[in-house]
Amino acid sequence: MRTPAAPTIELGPNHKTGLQLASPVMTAAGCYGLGSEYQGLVDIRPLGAVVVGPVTMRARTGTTPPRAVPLPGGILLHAGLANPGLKRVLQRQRRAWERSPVPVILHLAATTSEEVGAACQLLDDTGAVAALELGLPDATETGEALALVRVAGAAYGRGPLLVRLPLGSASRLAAEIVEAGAHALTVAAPPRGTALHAGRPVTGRLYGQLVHPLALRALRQVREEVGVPLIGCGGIYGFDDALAFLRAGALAVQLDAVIWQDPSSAARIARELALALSGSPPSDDLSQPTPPSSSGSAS
Amino acid sequence: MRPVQKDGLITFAGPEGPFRRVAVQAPSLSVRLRPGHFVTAGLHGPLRRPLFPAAVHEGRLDFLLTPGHPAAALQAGESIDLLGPLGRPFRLPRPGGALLLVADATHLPVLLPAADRALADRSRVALWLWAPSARDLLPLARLPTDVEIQLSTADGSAGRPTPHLVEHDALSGLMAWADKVLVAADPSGYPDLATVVRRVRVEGAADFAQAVVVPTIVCGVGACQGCAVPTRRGPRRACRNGPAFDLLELEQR
Repeated sequence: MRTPAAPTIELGPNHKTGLQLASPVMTAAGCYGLGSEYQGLVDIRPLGAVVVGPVTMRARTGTTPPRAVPLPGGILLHAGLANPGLKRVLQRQRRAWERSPVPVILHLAATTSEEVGAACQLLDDTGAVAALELGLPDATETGEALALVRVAGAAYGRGPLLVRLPLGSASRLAAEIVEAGAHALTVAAPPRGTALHAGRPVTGRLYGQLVHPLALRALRQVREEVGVPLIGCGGIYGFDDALAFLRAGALAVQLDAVIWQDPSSAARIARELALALSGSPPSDDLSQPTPPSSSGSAS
Repeated sequence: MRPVQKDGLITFAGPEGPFRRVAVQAPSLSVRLRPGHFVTAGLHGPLRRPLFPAAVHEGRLDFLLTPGHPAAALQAGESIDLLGPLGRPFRLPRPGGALLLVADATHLPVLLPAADRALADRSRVALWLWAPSARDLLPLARLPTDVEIQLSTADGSAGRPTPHLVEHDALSGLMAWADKVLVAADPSGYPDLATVVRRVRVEGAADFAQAVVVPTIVCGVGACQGCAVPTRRGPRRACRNGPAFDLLELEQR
């Protein structure tokens, strides 16, 4: 199916190379693997980009199972950043990423400053991806978060630096994170929760439709604080959910658990959005963020 | 083989013993499936549900579902969104070999395609089957007559009365006979079965006994890392490295 041409989106207007996307729809870190897993299942051609990872500099085995707890309306997942380490990932995936029909953004989980610096330097040297998304730890203090962003920004300059904010501290951190060097912000990482599995507590990230209002509220709050491109992420299960983020001021969106539920939905949502964006009259141009209004200030 | 996502047409849905049989016409999926593979179904919930075909033939997949399974409510004429094949096929004996199936009544359907394949390969097949009661059993006429069945039930209503799946002495004899053993049962019985395997096979070859473990499946394709199973080699994903694992590698708890 031919996708209508939507306005091009610039995710890194303040970066020397920028990052132009043909669609506002991306995959989200933690849901799309490294890209090869969903080959043939997710048609990425109508998407603007794919976010792969999370990856860390050093290999991680991940948490001891059980890692997933099904919940009414969602899922709790805690994989513990299981990945083979950045070097191994680049060995395996680099050629595939270079052949990707859409830009590949690598999600680097921020662990320590040393690891982040080394990983960013390696990514800068190889140029394997179009941009970097740095995922901040949930319980990070402001000073620690700023330090991680500064380290990443100092070592990685090939593409824009995106920073994924923790949901609970998104509005508190946003302005300073931008000042520290972020070119765009992803709002937000899935919230954390605890659920029982066979009587044992499992703590992890929550995915599901109920995350959407939480992330949308956070995005509206962040919109009040910063002027860089925002990427809405959390609980998007259809075109309307994605559009709500764009209307609230996001320039792009990331799809998370909907890909697990229905891999074909990614292309469908991207095509539906493209139709809406290309067919809208100029006054409803959704390719530009909606300016914040006083009534939009969430409490 | 890379998985595909296809809609299948349900051509039959009705009771079969304690199960509900749902037959799905899905030609492009059926040619890809090998015994041990599974598919996931999109059933309107937040998670796709794993389904193990009990039979695969002529473009059709037969599923035997427990009454509480979300897909058991589907009716003939409806379509179902299926994604597969997922997982790693069973490692079966060489043609002409000996295959032992060990199952409880609930999990038996998972192993049936392996029996069909092994018989087609001129292998001998024996089934060690345990159920709480005769009413929990799939009609045994469904099983090929070439399969030797050793049946036991907890209440003694069919076969020998045995409180649990594992009878060390009787199973030891069968395991000594077998070239491969496939197990599908409540995993709480796996440590006991592993003890029997160790007794029979002092230096057992890898994958001599393969046991099915199905944790919560999230993505099903290896992207989310959510379906990891604890093994002696660390967490291993059921959707990529399983769902049948070497019984002796499963972490004993």
